[in-house]
Amino acid sequence: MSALLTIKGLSVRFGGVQALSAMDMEAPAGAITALIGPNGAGKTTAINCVSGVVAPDAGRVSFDGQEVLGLAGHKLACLGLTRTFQNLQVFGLMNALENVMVGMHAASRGGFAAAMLRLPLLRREEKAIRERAEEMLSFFGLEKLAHQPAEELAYGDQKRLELARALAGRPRLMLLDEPVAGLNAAETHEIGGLIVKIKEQGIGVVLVEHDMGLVMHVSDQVAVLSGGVLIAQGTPEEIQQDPEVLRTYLGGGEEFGLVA
Amino acid sequence: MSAQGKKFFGYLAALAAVLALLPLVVTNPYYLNVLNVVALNVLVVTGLNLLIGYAGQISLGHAAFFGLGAYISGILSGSYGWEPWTALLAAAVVVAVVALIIGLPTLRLEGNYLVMATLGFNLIVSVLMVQLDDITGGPSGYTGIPSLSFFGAPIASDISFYWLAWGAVLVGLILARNLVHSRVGRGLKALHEAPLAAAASGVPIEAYKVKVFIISAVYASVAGSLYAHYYGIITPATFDIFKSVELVTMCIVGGMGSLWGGLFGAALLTPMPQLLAVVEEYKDIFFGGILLVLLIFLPQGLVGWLEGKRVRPGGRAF
Repeated sequence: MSALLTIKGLSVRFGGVQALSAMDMEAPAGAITALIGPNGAGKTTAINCVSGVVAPDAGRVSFDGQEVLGLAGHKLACLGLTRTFQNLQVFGLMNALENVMVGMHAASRGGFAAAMLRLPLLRREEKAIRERAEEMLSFFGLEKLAHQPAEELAYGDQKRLELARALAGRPRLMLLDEPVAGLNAAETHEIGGLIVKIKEQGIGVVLVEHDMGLVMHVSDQVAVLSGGVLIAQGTPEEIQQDPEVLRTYLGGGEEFGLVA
Repeated sequence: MSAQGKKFFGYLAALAAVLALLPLVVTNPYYLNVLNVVALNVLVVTGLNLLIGYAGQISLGHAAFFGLGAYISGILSGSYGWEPWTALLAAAVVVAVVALIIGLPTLRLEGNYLVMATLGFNLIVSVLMVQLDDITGGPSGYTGIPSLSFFGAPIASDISFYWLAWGAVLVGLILARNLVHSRVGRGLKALHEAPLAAAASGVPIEAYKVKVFIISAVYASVAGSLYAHYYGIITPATFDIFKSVELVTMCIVGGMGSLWGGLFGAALLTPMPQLLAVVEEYKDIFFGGILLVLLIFLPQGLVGWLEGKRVRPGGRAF
């Protein structure tokens, strides 16, 4: 598998803290690559660099062979790279359907003039956007909540709404920042199944997650960050036997042992 | 047509019916004049609402755009003999460019730098209107602006201008409504609520803020040009910073993010100084006070309050 996303020598310093040190990582198309590590290891920082939220001090990030560092955030979505957020970022006062419709932004083109004049092209596009958003809501089991303001949805539903929004525009790679944080076992299992289904559509996933059960269960590749350094990348089986990974996760042997 | 669309065009048809019947009742030219001023304010506030209520950016310089629309259109037609409609269009183009120049650097910054920039801009425009007296007529104003015409018939009387101004309002409302209920409109709301997530979804945040600022400035410019050709005389005091505060107050009274709210706010507040002598005397205090009380007790505005719309506690009011 050739890499869709390639991170090379990524370094970020926040004041006196070296959040990332020359991190290398690859994520292939159509596969789930987990990025794990203890709190403060730099996982979210890495995601934020890739998605243009944080500017790194050094390093390169290429997506499908194109250098993407320094691109404005919205351009990434147009290239087919979307993300979700660890701290929920739904559009609270907009309803669930509209939230997902925003996710179609990169996949549609009608501008200000076309919108104000309601040109036929725009009407057709609007219909397609709505249908796709409804399809996404069904996929994530949110269709009954379509007209609820997003801020009124339960926490777990807001998590799924973010996934629906990120998937709506048919991206090629999704960066998921802790999609099951704060969810119970049943919800985690369900989201895990949905992430696998996303992969089966040929979409690559980078999964930042603390839930080792989920990570080892769904991932094709696992990358381990510790103290801003990538210490291992391999299949879940390889990672579970990697001595350095086991040392990093002090007592982590049991944690991995949860995987049946 | 969607349910939202049916509701909007239902209201719009009701408004058009009321507007069509109103001149049968209101024949006194004084009240007709008040209605005309209401129409122009509604037009400005509709544009301003796109900026404040949807994109969450505040401008305290819309009186300046209103004024530039008035002065450019007035001077081009009055001093240089331009056809008034052409002058109106030229003014709109100039104002769009000015808004672009102000918006580009300030809207890139996070936070409400636009407020400061537009405040300063309004002050500068006010000074220029007074100081460039060879061109603008100075503090006493610019006179001799020709009326607009409709297929050769001048739109000079209060009643003929009534049809023009309210026609412009209906068109302005439809255009704004179309924008709001579109991909772009959703993008504007999204960038206001959660800018990171909006960008991650492909919304070009800076470009959208600048574009909606330009559109709102052009609404003000067109209203200003209509004003100039209606009155035939314009004075700098009409377009000062207090007028900007007044416009923002109308927008907030009715309800940010509700196009009907803008209509409501302008219709409610415009006649106050003209109908209540005591309000006219202390106009600026009156509008400032309303703004303050409203933001504290009813931040969602009157229409928002009637619709049961909430504002997130501790959330951004803008």
